[in-house]
This record gives sequence, C-alpha cells and structure tokens, in this order.
Amino acid sequence: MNRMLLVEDDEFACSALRELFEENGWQVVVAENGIEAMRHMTQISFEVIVTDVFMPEMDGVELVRQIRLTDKTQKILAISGGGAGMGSDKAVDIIEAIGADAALQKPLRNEELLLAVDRLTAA
Amino acid sequence: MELELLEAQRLGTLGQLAGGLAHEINNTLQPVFSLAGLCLDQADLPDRTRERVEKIVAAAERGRNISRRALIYSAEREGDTLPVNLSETITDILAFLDETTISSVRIDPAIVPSSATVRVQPTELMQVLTNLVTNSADAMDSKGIVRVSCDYPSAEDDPLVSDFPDSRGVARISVADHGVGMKEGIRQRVFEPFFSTKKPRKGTGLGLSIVYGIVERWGGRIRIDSTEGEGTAVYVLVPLEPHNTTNRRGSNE
Repeated sequence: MNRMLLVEDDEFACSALRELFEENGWQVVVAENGIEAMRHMTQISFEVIVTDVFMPEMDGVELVRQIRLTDKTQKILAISGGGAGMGSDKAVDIIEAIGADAALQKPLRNEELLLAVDRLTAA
Repeated sequence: MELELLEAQRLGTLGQLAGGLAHEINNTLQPVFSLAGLCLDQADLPDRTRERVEKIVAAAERGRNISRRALIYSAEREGDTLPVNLSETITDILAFLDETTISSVRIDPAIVPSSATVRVQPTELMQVLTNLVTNSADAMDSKGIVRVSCDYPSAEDDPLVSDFPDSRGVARISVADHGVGMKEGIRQRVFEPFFSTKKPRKGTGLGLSIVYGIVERWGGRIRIDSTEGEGTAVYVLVPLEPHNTTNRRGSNE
C-alpha cells in the first residue's frame, strides 16, 4: 500500500502538496480538516497521514489526539505554518508532545518533505 | 504594575499579529516551493527557464527567512535565550515599533550591519527597546526623533568595554533623545524599582529597573549620559557570542 491522507485547509498548499506526493508515487486522499480526515479514516487505511496544524472545524492537534486514543502506530507527520499567538516552532513542539511522529515548520522544500515521509514509512 | 501589564499586552498584540501574518506567508510560500521544486525536477527544462525558476525559489527562501524572524517575536519562550543577530533583529523590532507603537515620534535607526550574534531572549530585547524608546518619547513630550544605534565599540570608544573579557567583543545598543534630560541626582537613581519622575498614571517607575534586570541577565552593562535640558542617551552593552551560529530547528539562516 502506498496511500497517504493529506489534511490541509489551504487550497493552493493542498493542491501543490498533492501533486508533489503523487509525482513521487503516493496515492493521495485529501481532507480539508480533522473532521473530514477522521471520516476518511473510518473507511480506508493509510500508510501515512500528513497534516497541517491550524485548520478550521478540527485542527491538527485535536486530530492527532483523536487518532492516538485508539491507534498508537499510525504514522503521522505534522507540518505547521504557525498561527496567531503561536510560532510554528511552538506548534511543532506541542503536536509532537501530543503524539505526531514528526513535525516540521512550513514552508518546506520538496526534498525535506519527501525525506521526512520516507523516514517515517521506512521505520 | 500598570505599565508592565500594558507593555505585556502590547507585546502580546504584536506577537499575535506576527504569528498570524507568518501563518499566512508560510502557507502561501508552501506551494511556491513545492511547484517550483517540481519544475526543477524536469530534466528537459530549458536553461533560461531553469534560471528563472531558481530565482523564484531564492525569492521564496527570502520570504521564509523574513517569516521565521517575525515568528521569533510571536513565540514566547520563557527563559529561553537564543543566539540572535543583533543588527537584523533590532532593525526588525524598530520597524514594528515605528509602525505600531508611537505615532508622533520618529525613530531614526543607525544600525551597523554585522553577522555577529549575542545570546538573548528576543522578546526581552523587544521589551528593552520598547521601554527605552517609550522613555525617550515621554522625555520629549511624545514629539521628536529618537535615535537608536547599534555598533561594536572598542575599549577606546567606550570605557564600559573594559568590563568584558578581551576575546569576546561587545555590541552596544544606544537610545538617545533630545528631551528634558536629567539632573545628576536623578540619573543616579533611575534604575531603582518604583523610582519615577513621571506624572501620576504616566509610569510606575519600573521600566528602567526591568531593563536593568534584563541586561544583567544577558551578562551586559548599562550606562546613562544625560544633560538637563539637552537630552539623554542610554547605552546597553552586551557580550558577543563566541561563534556566529543560530540554532533554531528548521531554520537555514
């Protein structure tokens, strides 16, 4: 299986990231927020989840918290652009503490992102 | 504690603004990096097009660095000092202060460019500059020019430099105004907590004592030159880091 769930509310970031991962052999399913991501997860399994942190409805922190209630092994990479009152470095610390396997600050070069996904899925 | 609370609120608002803007910029730059990167992966890309796309990536890198600098002020990292490029960081802070804090006072920066770093907490650096610039503005009745300088003096330039170990080097920040100035007896007491010459409700007398405490924590020294009726200059001297490196995750600065 080479399936990825990409959770990203920013339209342009989402479409560019999807294209990047598809070009690199991933079958990508996208979700706009945590709620939509949870819905996909009840129907399909994913080798890796790549999620934004600040999103409407259900943010990345809550999504990771919800997943970890029942699944300790799902590979999760969080990517954060920061938000009002919180630097992306702090968001990265928080989401790692909640249970993401890795977390990085946006914007990221393609090689940084692909390397992070490779490391997670090889582990 | 009224002034301290107001300052904390103001810094909090600036942090919120910086964090919100950085979030938008970072999300906007992500597709630029991703799509430009995919273009560069194409082996048959014409040379001229490749050069253009490389320039797009270089411009996006610049945006990423600006955004990450803005985030330094957004993230409150209690007690966490970082190696900070003083000339760049002061320039950024002054831009914030000039735009957002004091409307009728103009800040005149004289920042010597340098790659040298000092180990400070960036939000404390912002607090020091905010306090000193606010004091200067008050001394000029909120009208006039505050000159903010940053240079790297030798012991001949500034007697306080001899207080530091020879090998390290020293950065000097100064904030100068042409306001009311101070009598010698007042100048000697300004770092005492709750000492103030301002009108009731204008200040608590904590501003300079806070600055003094922060500068002490940095291993720095502070000096005030003042002439009654002519103006005041406050000098803050900080030891340079032995190595000019930064240590923030994900940063390539």
